[in-house]
Amino acid sequence: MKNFLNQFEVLIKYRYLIWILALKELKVRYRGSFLGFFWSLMNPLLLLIIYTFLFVVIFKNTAKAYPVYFFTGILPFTWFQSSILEGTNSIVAGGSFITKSTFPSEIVVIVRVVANFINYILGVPILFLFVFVWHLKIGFPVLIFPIVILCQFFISCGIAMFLSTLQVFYRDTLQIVMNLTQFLFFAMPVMYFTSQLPPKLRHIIYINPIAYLMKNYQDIFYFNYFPRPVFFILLIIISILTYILGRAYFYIYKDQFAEFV
Amino acid sequence: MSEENSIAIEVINVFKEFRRLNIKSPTSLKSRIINILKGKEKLKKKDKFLVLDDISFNINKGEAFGIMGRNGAGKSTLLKLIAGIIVPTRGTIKVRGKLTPLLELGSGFHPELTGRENILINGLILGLSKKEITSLYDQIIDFSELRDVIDQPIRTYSSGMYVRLAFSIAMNVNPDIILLDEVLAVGDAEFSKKSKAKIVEFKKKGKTMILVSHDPNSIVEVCDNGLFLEHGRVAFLGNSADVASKYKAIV
Ligand SMILES: Nc1ncnc2c1ncn2[C@@H]1O[C@H](COP(=O)(O)OP(=O)(O)OP(=O)(O)O)[C@@H](O)[C@H]1O
Ligand SMILES: [Mg+2]
Repeated sequence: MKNFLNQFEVLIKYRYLIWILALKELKVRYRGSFLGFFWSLMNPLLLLIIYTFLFVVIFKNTAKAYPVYFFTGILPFTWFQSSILEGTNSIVAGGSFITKSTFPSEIVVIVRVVANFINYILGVPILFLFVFVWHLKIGFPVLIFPIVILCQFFISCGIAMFLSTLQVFYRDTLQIVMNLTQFLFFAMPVMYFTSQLPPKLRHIIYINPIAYLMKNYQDIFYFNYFPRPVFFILLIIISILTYILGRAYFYIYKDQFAEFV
Repeated sequence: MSEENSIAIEVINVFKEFRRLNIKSPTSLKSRIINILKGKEKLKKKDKFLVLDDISFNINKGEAFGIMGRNGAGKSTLLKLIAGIIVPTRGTIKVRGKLTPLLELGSGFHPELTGRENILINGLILGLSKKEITSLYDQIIDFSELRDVIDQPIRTYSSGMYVRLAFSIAMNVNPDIILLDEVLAVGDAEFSKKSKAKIVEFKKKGKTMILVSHDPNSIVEVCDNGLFLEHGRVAFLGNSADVASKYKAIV
C-alpha cells in the first residue's frame, strides 16, 4: 500500500509548485494578448461552428441540441490533446529545469496537464450556458463530474509521461502523436453519435478508454444519465493503471534526461 | 564514526561516459531503424567517450573546495554528478546535507517571469514552503540589489543581474552545501567582493561549498583545498594555493 501511495507523492508534495507553474505557464502564454484565455476557447468554438454547420445544415441531422453535444466532447478532448502534445515535448523543452535542477522532472509534464485543465475548466461555465440555452437538464450524474476529471487527469499524466520519455530519445514521437491524436478525434464519438455507427462498431469503439471517458462527459451534460457502475469502475482502474505504467516507464529513464535533452 | 560524519561529499572512483552526439546520432526513429537494418547499431559503443576518469576525493564539512581546469576538462560534469542531476557511469558519490541546485548562468529561471516570481518558483523547487519564501523575499532582494527591476521579466536582465539573483537565492535559502559554477566571474567587482564575504560567512557556519573557477585568485582567496582536472583526470589534489599555481603553470 505504501508503495502504491509513493507513486502519488510528487503530486501531493509539490502540488503548490505544480499549481504555480501551471498558472505561470498560462500567464506567459497569454501575456500581452488582449483576449487572454478566450483564445483557448476560440479553437473549440470554431470547430463547434464548423461541425454544427456540417451536421445540421448539410447533413440535415435532427439530433436535438447538437451544439451542446459537440461542445461537451470537444472541450475535454482539447484538454486531452493539448496535454498530450505539450506533455510529449515538455521534457525536451524543459531547459534548465531538466539540465540544471534536481527537482522531480515529471513535474514539468504534469504542469502541462494542469495548465490545460485550467483552460478546460474555464470553458465549463460556457458549456453550462449552452445547456441552459438549449433547455437540457443537468441532474445527479453531475456528481461524478469531479471523478471523471480526475480519471482524465491520471490518464493524461500517464500517457504524457510515457511519450515525453520517448521524445527524449526519438524526436519523431511528437510528429507521430500529432497525427494519432487527430485520428483519435474521428475514432470516437465527439462529433457524431454512437447511434450513427454500424451496430457492430458501437461497442467496439468504447474499448478505447479515451472514448469511454468522453462518453461520461456526454452522459453528464447531454444525456443526463449515470454511467454503468461496472464500466465506470473499470475506467477508474484503467486511469490509475495508465498513470502508474506511464510513470514507471518515465522513471526507468529519468536519470538520463539531463544528458540527452 | 565521527570522522565519517565530518565528510560532506565523498567521490569514490567515479567514471562518466558520454555518448558522442554527432549528426548521424540516431535520435530519430528513421535513422535508428535504418541503422539497425544496416547492422550499424552495434557501433554505438564506440561512440562513447570518457569525460571523467576515475575521480576520487573527499570534502569535509565547512570546507570550500575549488575545481580548476581547461574548457571541457569535465568540471561542470563533475558538479552535475555531485548535484545528482546526472548519474555516474561507474563509482559512487555520497552527499550529506541539503544541496542547492547547481548554480550556473541562467539555471532554473523562467525568462518570461519576473524576478520575484522566479524567487518563488526557485524556493519551491528547493523545497521551501510559500510562507518561508515570503519571509525571505526582502533578504534576497536586498542582497541582490535588484529591487528596481525585481518585478520585470528575467529576460530583460543582464548576465550579471541574473547571477546576482541566483546567488542571492542560493545563499539565503540556508542550504548545507552550495555548488557554484563560474558564477563569481560574472558579477562586477563590488558584487564579487560582497559574494566572497558571504561565502566566508557561510563557511564560518560550517557549511560546505564547491567553486568552479578559471580565476586562480578567487580560488586562493575563497577555497581551502582544491582539484585540478586535466582531460577528466585528477592532475592535482591539494591545498588551493598549490592548485592555483599548478593551474597557472600549465594553462
Ligand atoms: N550532455 C552531454 N552529452 C555529451 N557530451 C557532453 C555532455 N555534457 C558535456 N559533454 C562533454 O563533456 C566534456 C566536459 O564538459 P564540461 O562541461 O564538464 O567541461 P567544463 O570543464 O565545465 O568546461 P568549461 O570550462 O568550458 O565550462 C566536454 O567534452 C563536453 O563536450
Ligand atoms: Mg563548465
